[in-house]
Amino acid sequence: MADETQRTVLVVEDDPILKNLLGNTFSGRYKAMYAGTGKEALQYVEEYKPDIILLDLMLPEMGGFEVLEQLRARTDELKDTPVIVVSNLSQESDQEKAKQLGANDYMVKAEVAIEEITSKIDQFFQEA
Amino acid sequence: MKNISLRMLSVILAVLALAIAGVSVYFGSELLRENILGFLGTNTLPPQFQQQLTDILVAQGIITVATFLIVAIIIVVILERMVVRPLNLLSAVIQQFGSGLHADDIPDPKGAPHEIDHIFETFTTMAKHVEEARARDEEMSRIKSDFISTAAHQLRTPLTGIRWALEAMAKEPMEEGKKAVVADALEKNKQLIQIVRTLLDVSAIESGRYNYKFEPTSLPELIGTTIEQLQEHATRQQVAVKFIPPEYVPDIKADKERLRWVLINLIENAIRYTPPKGSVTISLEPARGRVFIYVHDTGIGIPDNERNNIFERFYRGKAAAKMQNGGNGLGLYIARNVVRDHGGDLDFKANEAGIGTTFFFSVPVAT
Repeated sequence: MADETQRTVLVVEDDPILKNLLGNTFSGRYKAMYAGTGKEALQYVEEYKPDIILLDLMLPEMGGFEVLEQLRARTDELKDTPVIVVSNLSQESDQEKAKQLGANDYMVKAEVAIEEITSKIDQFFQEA
Repeated sequence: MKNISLRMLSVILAVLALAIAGVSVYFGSELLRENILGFLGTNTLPPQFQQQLTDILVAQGIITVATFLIVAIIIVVILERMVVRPLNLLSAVIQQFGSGLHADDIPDPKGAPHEIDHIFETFTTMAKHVEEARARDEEMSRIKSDFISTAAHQLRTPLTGIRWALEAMAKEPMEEGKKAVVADALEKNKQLIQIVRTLLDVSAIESGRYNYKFEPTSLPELIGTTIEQLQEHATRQQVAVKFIPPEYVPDIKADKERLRWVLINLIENAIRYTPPKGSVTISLEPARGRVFIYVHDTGIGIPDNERNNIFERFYRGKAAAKMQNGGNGLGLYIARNVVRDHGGDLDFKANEAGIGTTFFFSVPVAT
């Protein structure tokens, strides 16, 4: 159903069930692609140039913080891709660190409905 | 009298010894002159001999005093090298250890007498113990914070999956009975998520006691945004939340996020235990370097025999427990800890007649 006008969302999530649940909601709304590790995430950013990234923090191979750091250290226009951290880490220190590293928003996974995530994404798209 | 330094003391003693030497040389020479005259059996000497005798006595005096001077200087220098410097080094080392010097880097007091050397050895051993204890502490807090994030991840990931799946299900068309079951499951799931959040808050607050960020904060603003956050909850419970700040409230010195947490808990509690059509009123009262905050409700009240328990971990009042409204008995425990970390205390006044409770606490004014 993906048409040309749909925006691209890169979902970085290592839990397959959560990934599926997000996928079901996103299908038809956005062109979504999924990365299960931090390394994959950086690869896909390069390959697909997503309009927005949903980033988990606790990831195999390379954690979300490092993904964020490397993304923001790029020299091309991809460096400014909006990032919404969607993680189950809820400590203030984690939220602060993410913001400092350049996350545009932070949501605690268990504490938000999927609809809240999609409306946050839409909000970013409207502002863009 | 100000304490004298060891260096000054050794110089004074040296000068004193020199003075005594001078005096004794003077009287010694006089004695010697008389003895020599007595030995010669005369009272006067021919002038050339007299001059010679004086010269000899003066020369002898100078040599004696000079010897004393040299000995005094040697003593001062030895004391400086062997006692004063090692002791100064020791006090510098103690000071530096306080600000991060490693026990392994404590220098050796070269040439110090063994008593001082022994102090160095004892201090180094003690420093190593302190360092080990410090490392253990750091390790413990690292383990604790690792545990917090692991628990968060391990518990929250499945809870998130259940929540999102139930939410997706709730959107599907289905018969009313099933819809209610899904809604119940979702409600219970959210309760679990809330409990995980509170448990994490407890460990974060307990382990992060020392990481408070105190900054000047506008209390009316903080309370205003907190009420906004809870408005939906209040409307659902049909409870009116009122807040009229006084004309002037000084900025307070507080950890904004933790104080917001306290306010959310108190106001949420007040709403939770107030029947429909009731109200929750928040008021402020600046007084002597602090601002008092009152959260008054028209709710079910707190019986006198529960007065001492409600701030305990996991304690729930009898009436409160019956309500099954999502309380978990941790809110007031944490809130009191946070308030205490702001130098105040959280307490409440309950109405004998059983209706209405006022929780109150104070926070310091920003300077």
